[in-house]
Amino acid sequence: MTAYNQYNSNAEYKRWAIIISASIFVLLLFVYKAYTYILPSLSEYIADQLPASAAQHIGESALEQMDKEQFSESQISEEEQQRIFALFSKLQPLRKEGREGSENKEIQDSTETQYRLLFRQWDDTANAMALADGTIIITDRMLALIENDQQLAAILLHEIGHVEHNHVIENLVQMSVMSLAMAIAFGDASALNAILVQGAALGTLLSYSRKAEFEADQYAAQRMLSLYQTVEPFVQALKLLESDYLKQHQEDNASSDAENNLEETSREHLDWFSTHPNMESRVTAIRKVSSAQLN
Amino acid sequence: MDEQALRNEEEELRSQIARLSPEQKKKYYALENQRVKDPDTYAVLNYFFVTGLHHFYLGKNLHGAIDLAILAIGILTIEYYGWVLIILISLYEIPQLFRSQRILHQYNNQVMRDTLAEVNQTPSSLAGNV
Repeated sequence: MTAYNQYNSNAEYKRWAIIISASIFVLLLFVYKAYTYILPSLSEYIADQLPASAAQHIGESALEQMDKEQFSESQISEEEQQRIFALFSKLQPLRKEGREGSENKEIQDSTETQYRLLFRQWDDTANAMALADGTIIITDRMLALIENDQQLAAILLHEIGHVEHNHVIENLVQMSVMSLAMAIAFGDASALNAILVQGAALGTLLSYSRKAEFEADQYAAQRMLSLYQTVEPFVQALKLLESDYLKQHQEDNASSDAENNLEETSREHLDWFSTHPNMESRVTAIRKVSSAQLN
Repeated sequence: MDEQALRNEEEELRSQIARLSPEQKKKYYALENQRVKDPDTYAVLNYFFVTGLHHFYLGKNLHGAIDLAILAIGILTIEYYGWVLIILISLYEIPQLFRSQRILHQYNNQVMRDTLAEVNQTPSSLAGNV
């Protein structure tokens, strides 16, 4: 090869190396921003536009499926349930400002959430969860773990926070948009089918994003301050849940053999604590709300 | 310069190439083949006009880097009006997208002219065998 040819082909390689590097850089940047900002914002917008009937339908379907497959009847006495219902009714938000963070006033008015509290037994799982339609489910083990009404109020307020911020629908929309994008990118129509068929059930099983958990914590902390002038019961409830989670995790590790590992792992992910962000950062954020409000 | 003027210019260059000696022609075409840019590749890179990839293809690295940097800043700050930067760069680049054929034709004519000058200046016995 002549020196001219050598020079030109080197320049050509260099040129294509720049083009390919620049393309990868832009693609990675776009994927990062799409995942961290564009997708959540788009999901929030779409979730705000959905009618109340969609949330109702998703909530009912999810409850029906979980009642069939996961839950059993609660062993909590009728008397105790009535006492907790009374507490729960005090916690429900007053309807003046509509849904938290929503900018669409018309939608806010039409989506006034009807809250209801249900008691269920779920193996030995300490969990509380919010469904899209405002149904809040609390398990027997969670009630056994909680030491007083203020701690229980904090857990219920955290779940109400998820409903107020429309996290269930947002989460579902986010997963659907992401799966749709993957289906388009990789040409897999079965993924799209799965979203449409099983979307409603997914709504309860997905863990929320860290941002959603912090928003729900913030909501609960603010309401705790206005109701009880302290966030400490919330912090105590979180610590109880953490120690229970760690204790159960150790027991699981000790008892499970290699064959059961997969099943144990999937059950761990359904635990309330395991689907939530780092404990220390949550407590810090909750106390920050408290000190900001009190100062 | 419009398309007709570019075609006339290319014709003129082709007639100058035809007047080269066989050895110079061989040398010229070897160089031209490596230097001229493919209109289809340029067009495809131009579809992603905000990224500036088409500038890199023509060796305008500074221009491409400026586009790329503005786009990167735009994406990273999209929630703080970074999208305005992306729109501005689009407004600048879109007209060039429609003129892409002419831009490339002009570029290739320039390459032909430079190569012709290079071949004419290099003694044919030395050219290409340094």
